[in-house]
Formats: sequence, structure tokens, C-alpha cells
Amino acid sequence: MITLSSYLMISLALFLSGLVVMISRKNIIAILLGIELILNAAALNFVAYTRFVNDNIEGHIMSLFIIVIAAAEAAVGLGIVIRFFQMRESIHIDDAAQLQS
Amino acid sequence: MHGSSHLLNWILWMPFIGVLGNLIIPSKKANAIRWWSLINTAITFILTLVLYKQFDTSVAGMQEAFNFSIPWIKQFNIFYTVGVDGISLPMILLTGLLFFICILSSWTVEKSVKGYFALFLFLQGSVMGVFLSLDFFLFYVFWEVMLIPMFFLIGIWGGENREYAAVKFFLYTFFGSILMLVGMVALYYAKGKGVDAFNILALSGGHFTDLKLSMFGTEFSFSKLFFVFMFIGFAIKVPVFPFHTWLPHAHVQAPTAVSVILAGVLLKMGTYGFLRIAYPIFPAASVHFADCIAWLGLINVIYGAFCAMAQTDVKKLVAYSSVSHMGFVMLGLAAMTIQGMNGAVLQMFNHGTSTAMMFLLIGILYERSHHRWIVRPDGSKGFGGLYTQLPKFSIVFIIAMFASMGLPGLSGFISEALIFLGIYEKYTTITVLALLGLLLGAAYLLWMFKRMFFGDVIEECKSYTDMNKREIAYMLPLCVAVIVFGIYPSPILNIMKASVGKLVTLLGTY
Amino acid sequence: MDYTIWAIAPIVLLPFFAFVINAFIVKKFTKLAVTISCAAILGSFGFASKVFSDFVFGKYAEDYHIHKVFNWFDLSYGSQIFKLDMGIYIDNMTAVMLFMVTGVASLIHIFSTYYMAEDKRFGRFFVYMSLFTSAMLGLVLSDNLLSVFIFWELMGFCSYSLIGFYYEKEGAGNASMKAFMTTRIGDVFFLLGILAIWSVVGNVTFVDIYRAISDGSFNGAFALGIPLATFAGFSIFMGTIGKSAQFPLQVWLPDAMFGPTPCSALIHAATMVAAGVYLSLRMYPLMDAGNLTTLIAYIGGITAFGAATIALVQTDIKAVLAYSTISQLGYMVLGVGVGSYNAAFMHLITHAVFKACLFLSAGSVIHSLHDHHTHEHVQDMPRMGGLRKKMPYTFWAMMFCTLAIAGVPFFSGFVSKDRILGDALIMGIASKSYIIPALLGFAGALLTAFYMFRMMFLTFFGEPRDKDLYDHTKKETFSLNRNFPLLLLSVFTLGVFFSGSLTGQGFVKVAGERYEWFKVLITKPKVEKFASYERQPWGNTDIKSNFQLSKAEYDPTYGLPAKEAHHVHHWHLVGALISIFIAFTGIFIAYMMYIKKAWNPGRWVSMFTRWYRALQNKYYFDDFYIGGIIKKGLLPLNNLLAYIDMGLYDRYAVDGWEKVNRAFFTVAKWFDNIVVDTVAVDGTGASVRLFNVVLRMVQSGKIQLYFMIIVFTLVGFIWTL
Repeated sequence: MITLSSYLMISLALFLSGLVVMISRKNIIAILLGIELILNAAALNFVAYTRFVNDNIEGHIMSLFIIVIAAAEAAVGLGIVIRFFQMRESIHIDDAAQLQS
Repeated sequence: MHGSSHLLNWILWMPFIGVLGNLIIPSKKANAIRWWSLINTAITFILTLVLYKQFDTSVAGMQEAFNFSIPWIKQFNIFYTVGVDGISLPMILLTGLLFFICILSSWTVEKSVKGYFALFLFLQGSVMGVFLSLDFFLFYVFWEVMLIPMFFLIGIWGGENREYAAVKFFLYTFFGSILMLVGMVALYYAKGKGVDAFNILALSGGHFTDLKLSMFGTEFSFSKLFFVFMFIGFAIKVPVFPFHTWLPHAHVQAPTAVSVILAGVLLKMGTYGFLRIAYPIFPAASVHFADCIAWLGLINVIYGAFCAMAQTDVKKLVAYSSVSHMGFVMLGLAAMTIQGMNGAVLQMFNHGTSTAMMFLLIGILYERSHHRWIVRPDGSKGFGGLYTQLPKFSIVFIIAMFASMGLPGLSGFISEALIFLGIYEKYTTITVLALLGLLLGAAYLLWMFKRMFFGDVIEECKSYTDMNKREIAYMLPLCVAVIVFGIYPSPILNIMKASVGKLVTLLGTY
Repeated sequence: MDYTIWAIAPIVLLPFFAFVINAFIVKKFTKLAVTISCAAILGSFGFASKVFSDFVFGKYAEDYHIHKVFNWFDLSYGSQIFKLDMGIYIDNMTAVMLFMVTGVASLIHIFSTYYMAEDKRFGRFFVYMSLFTSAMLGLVLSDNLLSVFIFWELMGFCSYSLIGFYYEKEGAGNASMKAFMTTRIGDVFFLLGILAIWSVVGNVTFVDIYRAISDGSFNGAFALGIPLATFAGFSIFMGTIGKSAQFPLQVWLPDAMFGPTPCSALIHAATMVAAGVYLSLRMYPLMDAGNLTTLIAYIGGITAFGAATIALVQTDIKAVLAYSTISQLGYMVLGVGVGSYNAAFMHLITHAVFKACLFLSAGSVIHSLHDHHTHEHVQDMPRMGGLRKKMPYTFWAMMFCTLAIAGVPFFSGFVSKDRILGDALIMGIASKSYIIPALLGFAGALLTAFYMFRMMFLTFFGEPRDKDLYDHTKKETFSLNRNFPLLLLSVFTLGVFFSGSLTGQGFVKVAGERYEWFKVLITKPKVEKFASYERQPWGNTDIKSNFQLSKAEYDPTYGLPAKEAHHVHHWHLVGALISIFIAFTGIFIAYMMYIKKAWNPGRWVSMFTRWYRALQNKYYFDDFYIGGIIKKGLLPLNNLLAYIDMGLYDRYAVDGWEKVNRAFFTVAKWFDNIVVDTVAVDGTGASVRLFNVVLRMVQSGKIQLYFMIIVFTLVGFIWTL
């Protein structure tokens, strides 16, 4: 029997692995990947809740939005990475610490 | 009040269309910008002529056929209302004509052409707005907006001391505007914030004569207090003594075309303000302060003439002569008779043409000499023998000069004579003293002419060339206007007399 | 009657259109322009002759007038009426003036084609001349003071242009400006007079002014505390003083000779200065009503005598003539003052004829005398002499005119001047206040005869004093455009044309008796006649034929008791004899001094050195006006005011606000800096800085550290739930 909690568990696993990747990896692209995972976790949650709690279409729409936003975000993020690489010849996250005063 | 004709809208917004066009044309194509501006002003001028043609001279109030009104800011009952009557039409014609001519005379401007012409057209639009607005708020907006292009035109394209002059001009006028703003807001509340609280026509007619106002524990007459506020606001623009000192600075520093507009049109906005706003809205207070206006006008006439005679910079001389001549307008306004008032409006028009000629001619001369000294600070002659060197220029100069000093047969005379006829019975002493202004007016102009034009050609002047075709082309319409309206003033008088008569009748009831 | 506008308007319009056309074509077609100008003035003369002959000889030879009005503009609105009408007014005086002005101007035009032919601005001269003449004709035809003023000022402009004609010369600029400004003083008063009259009459038409005088509208009206008739009359007379160069505004006329000589002839004879006297004649009833006649007589007497004394010491031939003009104008004004209306106007006409001729003759002399060293024409009489043989025509023309101006019997000057002096004498005997003007008049007549003959003798008689100049002068041969105007004018200096016959009997028949035409035609305006005057609307010819002249109006003795009539006749006769005696005495003195050389003028000079110097300096009027009033009074005042305006008022009062503001904002800035900023704001800042030290460590810029913080915060937050 697949219940709501099963979905939530998978979602939680996705979220945690994404969080771990984001915090531990120094490669910016990997961090972007981690963000994608987190977003996917959120999307999965939406679909699950809309399916089990009130059976309508809004959660689906929201997850579609999230996919689009994720794609857009990846595009922007990768663009920044490319510019950053051109400037620094590196995609190491600690090299991007210029905001510190 | 939703009129069928959009003519006034076209006249008002045509210059702004020109501004947009100038912004679109790349700044490298200087000639395209010049031609575009010229065509634009020409169209505006033609539209004003069409307006003149369609104008019904028998109507005293606003011409219903041209009125146009739509709500602008509904919450505060502010409307976009434009209209024309016999007092504003001469000013509109003058604006149309002078801007067209000034574009031609600005052909030689080389410093950032795009900005110059864009600002110039912007100035025209806002000036038109002042003369066409029937909504006090709209009037105020255009009145203030007009300062922006003026500030930059003087401050960027002016002479060596331009920033000082521009700031001075701006602050002076702004000071007056603020007083006017206070008056406007007071009227808005006095009128109960109703639908017509900003409508100049609805405000006019002396509704506030008996209104009292309590302030600082004293009771003031509403109309007298705010008449004084409005008076100062408009008087600075005229300029009435003692608010006149921005004028010599602004004139001397401004580029030629801007001086022309300043003297030819902008000064008239002050007196137009009296006729459109201060007088109709506060007729009782106007009658009460008429003596004061007359004396100030007299001081303007005499003091301006005396100061003009002492000047060694020819442009400054003409600037002070404007002070003197606008004093005659003030005298006519103080008369409050049909002769005097008609004379004042006619003098506004005539001074616009004659003084524009003077400034254009000085500009033409300046392009050749690059200085304006009648007598240099070291005592040597700045010019000499120009009559021999520049015959065409001299003839036009003579026409302008004699028109300016009120020679019969040229335009200045009729208006001055009407003003004197209007004012004599009420203020005999002032008339006697003001006649001295006529004498001094002849004296400083002729003295200047003698020093610059007679005698041998001095070494420096020998390289000057006479007026070229373009210069003659733009002086010609003004020459014709000065002569034709000097002999036959009816075309102008007929359009204004009903409206002026109505205003005089209103004032006569107080 | 059947006078249409088209019989009158061309008189003024022809020269005016000539001016308009010539102004455009003169540069390219000089010859054509000159022809147009001359043709126009001759055509105008033709029309004027028609009017003149109709009025003088023909159908209207009594007191008719034509009055046509059109509306210039109308400002009426509702109950407020303001109309400005312009119109044409012709009566006998106008007709005579028109004839004189067009006639003299025509001859001057013709002469100018000779005199100006070599000038580089030949054509332009005629442009101004046409405008000048048309302005004068317009003035004469005007029916109201305002249009008189308009043309009056236009003439001022023309004289400005003509006096400044040689604009390369510095002096021309000074002279033209002086002429314009001096006359402008009078003009401003004139305008004031117009305003004053307007306030009473509501109009400035002559006939309406006469009517107002007759119905007493002026009584009880005051301006600035002065009775209005006096105020207005004086103001208008000031106009005359300015335009006709009377004391104390006479200074401009001598300088006016800076212009070309024919223009001097026009200014001195037919146009400019005549206008002033014409105006005071027209406004005589007002000046009479304002009790100004005594003042006018004094001004006239002083001018007549004073100018004559200055003329005694002039060496420039044109200067002598200029002062003689002022002096003769003084006689006309004296005539107005003593009520000798008819004679004053007659002197205006006779003077116009002989003075035009004198100036043209002087021009003819000057033009012939050409200095080969300086390449300029010679005007100095000490360098002339003996020219009679070189230029006989000019000599005879000038001789006739000199005889006329000196007051020799049978010449026109005698007829008119004698009558003025006779009337002055009668007035002087009747009332003490007129004695001095009368005596000044007689003394001036003596001087006139003397200085005019001094001029003649120095110029035409004796030995040539500048041999070189004399030898280079060509002998005058008769040429039409040079000599014809001179000779024709000199013919008309004969008295017979003005008095009607040699014996003064006259040839105009009125009521069975013969009278002089001038006396019949020109009478003082009788204001009562206009009491019921009503103007006709435009288009209707308006001739009043119902005024029957009473004989008293042209016969001074009519109606008087026989004894008084005898008295008047008696004193007229005495006056005539005195003036004849005086004229011949003056001529005799001049003869003894300059022909016989029996009396040495130098002795007189050394006897009265101070007076001589005063005369040479024109009684120091110029020094007083220019050096005193203008240089010491006006210009310092101007500079002071300009300094107050820009140097004090603008600099301190207006720009002073900047200082005030600066002071304010310095205080505000201090408050802002110390109190607000340092203590309050920076104090806060310091406390913040403490946290800052801690937070800096957190703010590593490393994004993963931020993630960690977020995560731990979240976890902690959730934990506390």
C-alpha cells in the first residue's frame, strides 16, 4: 500500500541528499545539482499532497511551475558559472567569496 | 464643454511631438534635427494662424468651438482644460511666430544641437500650455515645467557666467511660483474642493470678495492676501521692480534665441497671469491695489530707462529697456479702462515683436564681433561706423529701434498712446512722470545708436559682413509685423477687444 | 459739395507711395527712384493747386471747410465707448499751407537733382525727402491733434535721418540725435497736452476742441491744480517750442545744417519748423482761453531777438541762415502771442518762400566752391567774397530774398513782418506787459537787416578773400534744375503776391469792397461757429457754407468808433514807418562796415569781448544742456542708479539671500554634524560596530557556510517546536 508517507519519505531523502550535496561539495555545478534535487523534492511533495489530501489539479500545476523555474534557474546559474569560470578559471565555490567586506 | 475641435490640442502638443522627433533623430544628423524643428514650429505657427482665422471676434468669453476638457486627476478634480479667448490669442500668435523665427536664428548653434532643439521645442510646448490652460493646476504645471528647459538652455548654451544666471533665474521664478502655489491651494479649499475648484473660469468673477481669513490671530481679507501672493508670483515674471534683477543676468548670459523668447514671450506670461488669473479672480483686490500697480509700473518705466542709459553692454541695455517697456504694460493694467487695458495687451504683443527684433539683431552682430560692448571697460569704442559697414543691418536696426521707442507709424506708438489715454484721467501725476520714460527711451536708444553706428568704421568692424539671406528672411516677418500693426492695428485689436472689454466691465463693478 | 476723397488724398498719398516704392528700388534704380519722387511731389502739387485755387479764387473763397472722417479703430465694448477717428480737415489755412508746402517742396526736389547728383546716396536722399514731405502734408491735412502728433513725430524721424545723412561723420550723429531729442522734449509735452484735452473733450479733433472751448467745457477742469486750458495750451505750446526751435529749445536747429543743404531748406522752410507754428495757430483759441498769449509773445520776442544777435557773429553761411530761421520763427510766435493771427500765418508762408530760396542759394554757392586741398565744399564766409560775378543768377535770387527778410518795402517779408510788429506795437501800447516783446521785435528787425546784408556783402561783394578758391570756381551758367527753383522762388518774394497790390488795396472783392486775399481768407478760428457742429459720417462730404463772415473779421477797424479806428490805423502806420527806417538803418550799418569799410567791426568786438564770446558760444546753451544737465546731471544719475541696481541691490539684497541661507545652513550643518551625526548617529554606529566584529566572522562570503547556518537555524527552530 503506497500511502502519502511513502512519498514524503522519498521526498525527504531527496531533500536531505540535495542539502548534503549543497553544503559539502565545493564544485559549483554540483551545488546546482543539489539545488535541483531540493526542488524535485518540493515538486514531489506538491504532487503527493494534491493527490492524497484534496484531489484536484493545483498541486500538479505548481509542480509544473517548479520544473520550469528549475530549468530557468539552472540556465541562469550555469550562465553565472560560465562567466565566473571565464573570470577565475575555476569553479571552486570558495573562490566566490568576494561579497565579504 | 467637450468641444469638437482638437485644434488647441494640436497647437499645444505639436511642439512635444517635435521633441520626440528630435530625440529619435541621431545626434550626428544635425541638419536633420534643425529642419525637423523648423518644420515643426512652422506647422505650429500655421496652426495658430488657422486658429486666428477661425476665431470669432464677437465672443467675449472663451471660444466654445475650441474648448476641450477631459478629467486628468479625478480624485482632486483636476482637469485637462484648454481654451482660447481674445487675451490669449495674441500671445499664442506671438509664441507661434517667435519660436519659428528663433529656430531659424538658432541655425548656427553647434554645441550639442540635438539637446538644444529638443529643449527649445519643449519650451515652446510649455509656453503654449501656459497660454492655453484654463485649469489652474494645469496652468501651474506648465508654468513650472517651462523653467526646466529655460534653466538648461541658459545654463548650457549661455555666456561665460551662465550657471550663475541660470540658477538666479530659476530661484527667482521659483520663489514666485511657490507663492502662486499657495494661492492656488487656498483657492482650491475656498472653493470647497469641488468639481470646478481648479477651473479658472469658475473661480473668476469675484466670488471671494467678502471672504475672511484668520491667521496669526488677525483677520485678513482672503482676496487681498492672495492677490498679493499672486501679484508677486506674476510680478517676478514681468518683471516688476523690485523683482527685476534676474532679467539683466538672464538676458546677457542667454543665447540669442533664448533671449528673444525670454523677452518676447516669457515676460508676457507675467502680465498674462494678471489678466487671466489675478484680475478676474480677485477683481475687488485688483481695484484696491491699482494705485500700487500704477506706481510700480511708473518706477519700472523710469528706473528701467535710467539704468538702460548707463549700460555699456548693448544686450544689457535692451534688457533694461524691456523693464521700462513692461512698465508701460503695468500702467495700462492699472488703468482698468478699455483704452488702457487694450493698450496693455497690444503693448504685450508689440513689445514682443520689437524687442525680439532688437535681440535678434544683437545676436546677429554678436556672431560677427563676439563681444557686445558699446564702450569697452577700458574706454575704447566697441563698435563704430556700423552704418557704413553694414547698411542692411542698420536699416533693420533703425526700424527695430524706432519701433521700440514708439515712433508713430510703427507698432509701439499705438499701444503706448492707448495706455496713456487710458491712464491719464485716473493718474495724472503718474502720466506726467511716465511721459519722461518716452523721452528717456528715445535717449538711450539713440545714444547707443550714435555710438555704434555713426562715425568712421573702426578697425575691428571692417571684417564684418552684412546680413545674409537667412538672417534677412527671419527679420522680414518681424519688420512687416512692426510696420503693419503700426499703421493698421485693427487685426490685433479686434480679436482682443471683446475679451478685454469683458474684463474691464467686471473690474468696473467693484 | 462735390469734393471727393480722391481729389484730396493724392496730395499726401503720392509722396508716400513714392517713398514706399523707392525704399525698395532705390538701390538698383537710382535714376528711376529720383524721377518717381519728383513726379510724385509735382503731382501732389497739382492736386494741391486745385484745392488752393478752389478755396482762394474760386467757389469757396470764404469760410468753408471740408471735414472727412474715417474710423481707425474701435475698442467699444458694451457701455464703454472708445473710438479713434482719423480725418481730413481742409479750410482756407490748410489750402494755403498745402499749396506752399507742395510748391516749395517741389522746387527743393528739383534743386536736389542738381545738388545731390554726385552724392553716393543720391537716391536715398529722395526716399527720405518723399517721406518728409508726405508727413508734412499729412500733418497739414489732419483733422485732429493725435494725427498731427503722428505726422509730427514722423517728421522728427525724417529730420533725424536727413541730419544724420552723412553718417560717416561723427558730428552728424551728434547733430541728428540732438535734433531728435530736443524736439522730442517738446513732443512729449505735446502728447501730454493731447491727453489733457482728451480727458475733457473725449476727442482731439480741432472742431470738437473749438466746440468745447465755446461751450465752456474747459471751465472748472483742472490738471495737477492748474486750469486745464492753461495746462493743455502750455503743453501744446511746448510742442511748438521744440519743433519750431523757440527759446529755450532752439539749440537743435543750427546743428541741423549737418544734413545736405536742400534738406536744410526743407526743414527750415516748408516742413519741420513750419509745423510748430502751424500747430500753435490751429490751437490759438485754446491758448487764448488758457491766457497764454503773453507768455507766447515773450517767448517769440526773446527768440526773435536772441537768435538775431547770435547770427551777427556767425561766419558759416548756413549758420547765419539757421539763426535767421530761429529769429523769424520767433516773429511768427510773437505774432501768435499778440493776436496777429493773420500776419503770423502770412509770415509763415512768406518766410517759407524766401528761406527756401536763401538755403537753396546758399547750397548753390557752397556746391560751387570746392576746395581742392581738402576735397570739401566751403561754407565759410571769410573765404568767399566777390562771388557776384561768378554766379549772377544765384546772386540775384539771394538778393531778392535778403531784401524780403530784411523787411524792405514791396517785398513779402515787409508785408508780413511789419504787420506782426504793428500789432505788437498796438498791444504794447494797450497793455504794459507786451511792451518788451514789441521792443525785442523791433530790435531784432534791425539786427536782421544788418546780419543778412553782412552775409550778402561778405559772400558776393568786395574782393575775393581766398584767391585760389575763387579762381577754381566755375562761372555759373543757367541750368534748369539749379537756377529755375531759385529764380521762381525769388519772384514770389515780391510783396504783391501776398498783399494783393502794391498799395495794399487787394483784389478780392467782399461786399463791394476790395480786400487782400490773405486777410479775407485767414481769420482767427471763431469757436462759437462750432457750437452746434456735427460730424457727418464717412463718405459724406462735409462743407459748411452757412458761416457768413462778418466784416469785423478781416477789417480790424470795422465797427470801431472813428477815433479808435484812427488810432489803430495811426499806430499801424507808425509801426510801418519804424520798420522801414530800421531796415534801412541795418542795411546802412552793414554797408558801412563791409563795403565802405568805414566802420571797423573789430572795434566793436574788442569793445564787447565778453558779449562777443557769449554770442560765439550761442549764449552757452549747448554747454549748459550738454555739459551741465546731461554730463553733470543725467549721466551720473544713470550711473548711480545702475550701480545701485546691480552693484548694491542685486549684489547685496538679492544675492544677499545666498549669504543668509549660507549662514543658516552653516548652523544647520554644525548641528547636523555634531549633535545629530556624531553623538546620535555615530554613537549608534559605534555600538553596532561591536556586533560587527562578531558578525564579520560569520560574513565569510562562503556560501556553504551560509547554508549551514540556515540549516542549523531551521533545525533549531523546528526543535523548539
